[in-house]
Amino acid sequence: MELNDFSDRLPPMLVKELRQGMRARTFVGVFLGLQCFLAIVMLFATSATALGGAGQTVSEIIFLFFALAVLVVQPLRAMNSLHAEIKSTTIDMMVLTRLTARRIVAGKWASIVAQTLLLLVSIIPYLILRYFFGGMNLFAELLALISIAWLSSCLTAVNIGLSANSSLLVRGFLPLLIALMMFSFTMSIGSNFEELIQFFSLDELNSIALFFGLLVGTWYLAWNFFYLGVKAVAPASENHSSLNRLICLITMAVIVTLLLCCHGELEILPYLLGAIAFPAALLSLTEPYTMMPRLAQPFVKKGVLGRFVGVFFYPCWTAGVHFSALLVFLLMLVNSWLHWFDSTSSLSEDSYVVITSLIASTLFPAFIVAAFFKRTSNPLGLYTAILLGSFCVMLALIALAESTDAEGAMMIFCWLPPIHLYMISDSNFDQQTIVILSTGIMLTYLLLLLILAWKRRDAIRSAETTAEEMNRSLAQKNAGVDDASLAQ
Amino acid sequence: MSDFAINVQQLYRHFGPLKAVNGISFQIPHGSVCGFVGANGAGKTTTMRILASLDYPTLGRAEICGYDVVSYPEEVRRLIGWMPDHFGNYDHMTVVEYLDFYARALGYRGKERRLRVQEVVDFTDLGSLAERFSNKLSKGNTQRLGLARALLQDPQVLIMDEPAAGLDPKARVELKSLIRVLAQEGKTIFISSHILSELGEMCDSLLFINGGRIVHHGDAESMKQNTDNGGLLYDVQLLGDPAELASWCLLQPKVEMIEARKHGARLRIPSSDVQDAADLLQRMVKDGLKITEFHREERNLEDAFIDMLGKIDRESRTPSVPPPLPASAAPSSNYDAL
Repeated sequence: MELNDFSDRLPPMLVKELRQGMRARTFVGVFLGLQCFLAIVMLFATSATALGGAGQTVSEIIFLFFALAVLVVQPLRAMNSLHAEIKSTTIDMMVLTRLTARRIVAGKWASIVAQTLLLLVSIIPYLILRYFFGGMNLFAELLALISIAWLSSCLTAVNIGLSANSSLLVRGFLPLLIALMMFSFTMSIGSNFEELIQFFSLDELNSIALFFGLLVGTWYLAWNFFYLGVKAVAPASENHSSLNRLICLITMAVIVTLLLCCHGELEILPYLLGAIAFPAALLSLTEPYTMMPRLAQPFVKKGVLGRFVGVFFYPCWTAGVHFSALLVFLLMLVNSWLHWFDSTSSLSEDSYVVITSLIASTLFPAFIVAAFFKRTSNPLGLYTAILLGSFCVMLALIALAESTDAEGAMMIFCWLPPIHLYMISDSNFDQQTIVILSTGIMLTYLLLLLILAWKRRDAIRSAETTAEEMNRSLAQKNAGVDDASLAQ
Repeated sequence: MSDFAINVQQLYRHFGPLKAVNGISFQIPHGSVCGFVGANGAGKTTTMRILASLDYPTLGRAEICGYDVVSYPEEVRRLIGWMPDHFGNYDHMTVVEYLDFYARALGYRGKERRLRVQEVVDFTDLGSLAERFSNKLSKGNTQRLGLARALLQDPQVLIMDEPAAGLDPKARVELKSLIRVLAQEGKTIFISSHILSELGEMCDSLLFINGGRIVHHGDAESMKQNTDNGGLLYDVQLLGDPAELASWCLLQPKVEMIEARKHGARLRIPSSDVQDAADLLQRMVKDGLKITEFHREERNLEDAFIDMLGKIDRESRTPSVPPPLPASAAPSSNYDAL
């Protein structure tokens, strides 16, 4: 019985996943396939060196197949990972060990990323060979490969987070959609190879800023979805939402500060903030309706201030709505500030409607779920279905309106927020009217959600009351222990 | 140390309108084996999941060795071994690798880890299967693997949800002997099963749950006595169609058919007088039934279980109309009633 194949220093989840993953046909197939293919390419390239220009072609082929393996196949391997554990109840047995939910999800992520890195390392000999063909921008090509591996690790985190959901739409369709997007990106590498290498040489300040912006952006997105997986696995008595929301606010503050300090282009600010706010709002609006008193304990302990902070940060739906309202308020504040105090960076009417329409599109599914599907066991699955459905309906309506020349009839569907995106781009509609309409619809959904949250405020109140009692009895117990030790 | 290994007080667990556990209270002392009995959907698994800190109560308190399962889940998890009714195994992972993973996850390191894995493999007799993939095992061996996993951290309290479900008789006997050894080692075992005769043999006490409520807590004998409706049980076998016996029973006011059997039936007569049994046999023969066997049977736990369900069913069907209030006590208006 030999159990020394992995060191004790490695996390248990990583050991388990590597033992399983390294034997999985998907990995073995991709690994061997990539090696065979690259070996054949090298063989042909060596014989064609005399013709010249073989170096770049080899690079393109290496990039194409490496990107296919790590951007399409590897993230897809995370597709069902957490759901399979939940379904087979193995997650219960893991939770009963000393593994935390974070370590369980991180282990799953780390094993796929470790295999991605193994693929990266395995192509290094081919890159060394390719170097001898000449014309290689070593730094840019290495950085590009590392960036592809980084993107792969972020996409893996996204898919692992989604994989915890019971809805096939969330854990199956969305990863496939991402894989499709990555496939088309990979296919475009060949035709845009020179621009890609130019970008990764980081010669210009703009490319450096964009490169680091992309790094941070992908990390933030991956982190949010990673915690979606952690939340699904963690016991109900753990709070993973408050930190998530706090990080969203901090990231927004950092972005605003950076752009102001660096005198960056402020007109992109609302879009950047919107992109940061969206995942946090999505997670907040799909929280459970009830809250365990234990989760309110740390807030209640801080008195009135703690309770006030809890109104936005408690891990429940009601507080999630308050937090989303806060995000909308901040976004609108930034828009107004740009409009009133910095007219050069002021948003155009088009951009303004795009932002309000996207905010309303985020709020609309949450309202439908809360108003009509109160008892759903999977709010995120339903939310995603309604969100995707509303965009599909919009596309269908546009096609119908354009084929029948009845664009005006679109006004009937103005309650469907994505429609505003079409209306603002169509000359048949008065832009000023669309601005007012879009703002009105956004505020209506926000107000409706706040009314529903107000009706469900009892969830917070009863949790706070019980938490207060729990804190009091704990304090009494501790005082009793102190007295007893003093008496001794 | 707490007086009880398991202490449950007024425990409720509601899933929307469904009251899976509805105010149960019980205590299990250290080192005892307690059987948890109930029909499907009675609330056994929910209670066990709460005790294992995998679910949380809507109201009430559950403690393992004095630790509240909601407030101190980490401590509770260090004290228990949990064996669910069914659990998945991993692809591409051998039996030892499976146990090694859980040993690592429980904090065992180096030599200690290998030793612990070896110990549980030896105890559950999985040595010959050590290099087999864990998802390719038979049901019996999978249960043994589950037991080995539950024993890895040498738990004080072992919670086993239907461990014998789906096992063949041989595997069931093996599992029973393993549980007996664990009980002798002084572990507290809380076990649910449908095989009542086996529970009766190995448990110090039995908990009977129905509709989310505890309806009996005591040893097997007290359960048999509490549910005993009186009378004697007889196994009757005959030549010819057993349906004839069933039809005959329907016409007899003082004979109840408990169970139809291949060549006859199991009957209950309400009287404890053997003379009545002799009269019954005489009537059967007189009415043309070709009786080949007629012998008395002991009342077992299954009988007690069925009797208890019947009793609960009868009680629930009894209309409970509240007696009319005396005129002086009747509220004069809705406001007063409030």
